[in-house]
Amino acid sequence: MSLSLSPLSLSELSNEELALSSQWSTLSARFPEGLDEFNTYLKSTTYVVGSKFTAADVTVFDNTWKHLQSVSDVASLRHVLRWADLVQNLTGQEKIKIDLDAAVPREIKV
Amino acid sequence: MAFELKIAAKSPLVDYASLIAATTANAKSATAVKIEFVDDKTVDGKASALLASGDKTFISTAEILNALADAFPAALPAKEESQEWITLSQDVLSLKDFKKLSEGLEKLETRLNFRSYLVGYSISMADVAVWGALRANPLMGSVIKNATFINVARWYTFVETFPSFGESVVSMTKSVAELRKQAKIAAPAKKEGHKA
Repeated sequence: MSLSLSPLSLSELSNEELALSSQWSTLSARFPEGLDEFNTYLKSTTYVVGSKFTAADVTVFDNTWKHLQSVSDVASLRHVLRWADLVQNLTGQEKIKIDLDAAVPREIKV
Repeated sequence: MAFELKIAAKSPLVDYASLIAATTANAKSATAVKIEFVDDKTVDGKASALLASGDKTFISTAEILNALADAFPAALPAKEESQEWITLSQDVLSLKDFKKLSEGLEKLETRLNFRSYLVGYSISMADVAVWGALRANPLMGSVIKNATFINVARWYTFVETFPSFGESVVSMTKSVAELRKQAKIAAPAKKEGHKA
């Protein structure tokens, strides 16, 4: 199922949203270094910029998907995988296979 | 067939799910469901919401949601896959027993490990039923605030940003406040006596 929803362009974002967008676009170029921080960030936010699907998701996804092709410990990157699955379905470009029902232990808030 | 939905604003479990389903249907065609608020604990002496269409009436949240899903499948998709979540929302997520509620939240938490929506990649009936039940449950405020269930908290705040969800609850609160104001004007509580 793919919707090919088009992301919001950067010109439609507030300054604060633009800052987030540019921060993660830059950091994602260095992945896998920093991938864990991205995972932590995505615990509480659905997209790179809060609840909006934006061009930043597409940019960051382009930098991320190759690091997600063979993740041995899916539990430790569950939020990135969740986000990547959403983005690849919205853009209609499925790059990685993700088992949506993979059994992982419940995450305890730290 | 025209639909009319009545919602009891003082119900101990306000039927937000039915409100959201009707608002979602109206977003696609403005006159799909006429929504009316009743400033009382029930709409008919018993039910917290009632949907009427011609000579048919639907009273439980599950009945109302399914009737609206049948009538407006484009606005309220994934009826079949949503049933288990509708059941969970009514049987478990509406409970004010924290232990039982937690068991339901565990299920949601697991479901949302690798999913952003409960079913598929857009809002479905499942999101409507579950979000509505959690919004009405007084135990949930602190659970969401403290993010005890990490995935549930993320999903809840995300779904809330959709206008049919967060905004429709706010707009209901405003409408009910307006109803109370008008009721006061129509029937003043007590006649002011003249002061000497």
